[in-house]
Amino acid sequence: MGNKRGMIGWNSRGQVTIFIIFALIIVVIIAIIFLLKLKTNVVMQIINENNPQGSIETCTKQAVEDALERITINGGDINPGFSVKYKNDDIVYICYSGEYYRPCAYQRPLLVEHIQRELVNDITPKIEDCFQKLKMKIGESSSVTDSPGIKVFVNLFPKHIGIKIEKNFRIERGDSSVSFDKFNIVMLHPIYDFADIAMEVGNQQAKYCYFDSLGYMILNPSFNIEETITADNDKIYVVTERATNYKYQFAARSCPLPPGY
Amino acid sequence: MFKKTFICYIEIFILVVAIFAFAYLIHDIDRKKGSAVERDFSIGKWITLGISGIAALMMGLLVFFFIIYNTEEVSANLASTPICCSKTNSGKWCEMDLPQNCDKNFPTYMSNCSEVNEGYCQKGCCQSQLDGICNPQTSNASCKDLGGEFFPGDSLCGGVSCRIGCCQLGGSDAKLTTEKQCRFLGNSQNPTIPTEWKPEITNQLKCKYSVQGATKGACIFENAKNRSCVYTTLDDCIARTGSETNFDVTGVFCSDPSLNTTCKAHAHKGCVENKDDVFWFDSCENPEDVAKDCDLFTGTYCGKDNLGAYICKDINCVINGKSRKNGESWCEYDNVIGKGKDPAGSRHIRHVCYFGTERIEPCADYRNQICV
Repeated sequence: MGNKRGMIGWNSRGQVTIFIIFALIIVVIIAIIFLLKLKTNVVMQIINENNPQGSIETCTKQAVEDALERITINGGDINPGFSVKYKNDDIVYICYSGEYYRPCAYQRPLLVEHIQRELVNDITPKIEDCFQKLKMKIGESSSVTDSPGIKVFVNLFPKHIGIKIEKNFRIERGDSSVSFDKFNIVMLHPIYDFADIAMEVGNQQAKYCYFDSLGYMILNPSFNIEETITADNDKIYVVTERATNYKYQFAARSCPLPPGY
Repeated sequence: MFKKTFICYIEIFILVVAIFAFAYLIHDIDRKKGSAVERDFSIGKWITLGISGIAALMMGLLVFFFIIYNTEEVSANLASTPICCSKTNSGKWCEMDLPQNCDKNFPTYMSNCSEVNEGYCQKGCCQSQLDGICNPQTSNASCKDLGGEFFPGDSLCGGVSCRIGCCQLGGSDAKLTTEKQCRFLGNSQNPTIPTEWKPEITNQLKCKYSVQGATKGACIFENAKNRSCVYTTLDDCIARTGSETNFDVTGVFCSDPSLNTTCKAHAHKGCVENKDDVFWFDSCENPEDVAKDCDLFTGTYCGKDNLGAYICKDINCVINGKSRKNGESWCEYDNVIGKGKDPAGSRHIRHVCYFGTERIEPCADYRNQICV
């Protein structure tokens, strides 16, 4: 009997130990996942004092890619305005009608200009930060003078993006000096083509309450368009460029019909 | 965003810790029952344990409600329904939002923004000054804010400047655009490529097949070690090398021995964007002659087989033993349809054969869309 009691006591202590070990393991795993996630969120900025233009280019591209990721998920906005929740994403309406049977009114006209503005607003402070980091890095060995403020221009074109940065930046080391006032960067991305397709969809929905995605795809096989209709008459479009697998999603609601029509 | 992430991790942490905390609590009772101490386990100790449990539960609930109350979703639910803001605090024009998010300096409307047609939200056609694209049913303020030209009486963009025609780019590509957009596309790709806008062609298909490939030839250039080549048009060659003397007018491929370049003929096969056929490529990655003649409209298109080899891939479908052409669509019904016989809750489904795969497109709920 005594032996049995002893065994029960030992088993209980063993259980507690196992519980504690499991708890510790789980907490450590969660902590590692959390730390890894934080680490991946940190913008990896390769700042090289011997190649200021290359450093700014890398840093700017990273900022643009981050902004584009949000824009392509949200349908054109960095921070989505009037939108529909779909698969945990807030997708902006390019064209919306709140009344039954009525065609939609444009919510995001001139989408190319809109995305350009969103990009400029989002990346300008990040590029300023890139310059500050570069200045600090170079400042360890050389003297750096730069003009206050920065001007960033973003232009979207078919299949590529042009980014122009205007800032006076002068590096002096001993007797030699190097000056920069313009940084021109080109990135390959189909965001213009996505905006073009989104506006084509918006135009058709505003005029005819319908967009024939199949017909469009047959004539333009480079892009795949998936259309999903929700219970609330929202149409979610996911456009994919086949060659690169880049995606862009947006929503439209035109001529909604009441239930049971 | 960070706040939400933080709350999420805290909740996960509490959940995980709670599992072991409660398990330990139960284990503690169990241990006391099974040992000699069980006899001394008085009612007082049970009460103490009960109070501790209730206190822990209360604390948990308090934390839970504190977190829930502080999340944005709940505060959003507490607010009233959206109205039409002429301008939102975030700078958007004529957009539905909660009253507190509307800019107080601009009028608001109780109706849907899509139905408001006055002041800043007056509807019309908006044309981009950048690329010439026209957007119908656009509000006055959102158009002008982005530098567009606004046409108030023409909400469907039927004006001359928004007229659609066929834009032929460099003799190799074409699409329907406005005249202004055609100029933009020509300039943004390569300013030296001749661009022509033909308003008499308004059919998408006719436009696409109205262009013949521009005459291409070998554009030779020398770098430090070798003599390389790009197979392109004369205009592109001049833009790349600065001289037309680098362009071979005979039209032979870059790999032709007479040009003495480093490019080797028929190095591999591949697909060219927007072309049906499988092409030969030289070792400098220039497309050469057609390796396999595919045709989109008869159901074959350049693609890879299972082994990764480029072939004229059959893009027709075989669905349930039945052959379907590329682009063909058909309907599926839950039960009998029409004449009021559709079962309650049933839905029509459209199936489409597209590039060799079957796409399933359910019609809208409540049979607001039907497949015919």
